[in-house]
Amino acid sequence: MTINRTLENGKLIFALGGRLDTTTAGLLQEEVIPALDEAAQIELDFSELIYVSSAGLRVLLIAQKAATAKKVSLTLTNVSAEIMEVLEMTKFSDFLKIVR
Amino acid sequence: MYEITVPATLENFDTVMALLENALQNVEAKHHCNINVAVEEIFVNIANYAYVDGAGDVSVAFSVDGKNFVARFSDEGIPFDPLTHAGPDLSVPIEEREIGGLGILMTKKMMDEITYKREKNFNILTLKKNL
Repeated sequence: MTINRTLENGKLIFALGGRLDTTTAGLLQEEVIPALDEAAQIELDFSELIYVSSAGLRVLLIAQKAATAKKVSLTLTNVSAEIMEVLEMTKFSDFLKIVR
Repeated sequence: MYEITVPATLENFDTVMALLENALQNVEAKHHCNINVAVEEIFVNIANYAYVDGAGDVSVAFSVDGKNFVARFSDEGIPFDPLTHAGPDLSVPIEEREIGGLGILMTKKMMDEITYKREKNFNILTLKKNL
């Protein structure tokens, strides 16, 4: 998985590419959790992401809980139809902020 | 048919997923996400839980016949039928959400047919997806 980090008008954007899976989910966690102390707005850009497994969902859950606790806005953008299906199937779409 | 037998450890995850990528080269991209998720969940489950003491192998076979994708997993670990396990409660708020069981729930929803059998000392799990 690739993670490209950019700062845009105070908003931190992580552009993710490849697979958010068992071997890569930890990398995202290591990037995003510390970032919650750096910016009030964080965006995860899913445009180049191929798929998300339950290991990836686990990190999204941890990140969303931590973001809520720190009053940081966490948004998922450019979510593909295939990944949206995963988020809806697991009802993660109920608590994640998703902009398609 | 794409087949491999490897020690059931997470170190072999990338090898199995690379084999899957080869198997899916002529399968429409819209199916890749679902199939990848299901194969990952089953492989990781076996790697984490099949062999309680020590190590053992897992055999994975993928086949595509134009109409169906089939993945077959076999291991000699403890008997485990994922179909009999209840999934997590998806109706609870975020504070109470759990990840355990989510992988199997997704696999069940994403595949068209899942069969489990215990044969001799083997767990044999077959996933089928209509293409």
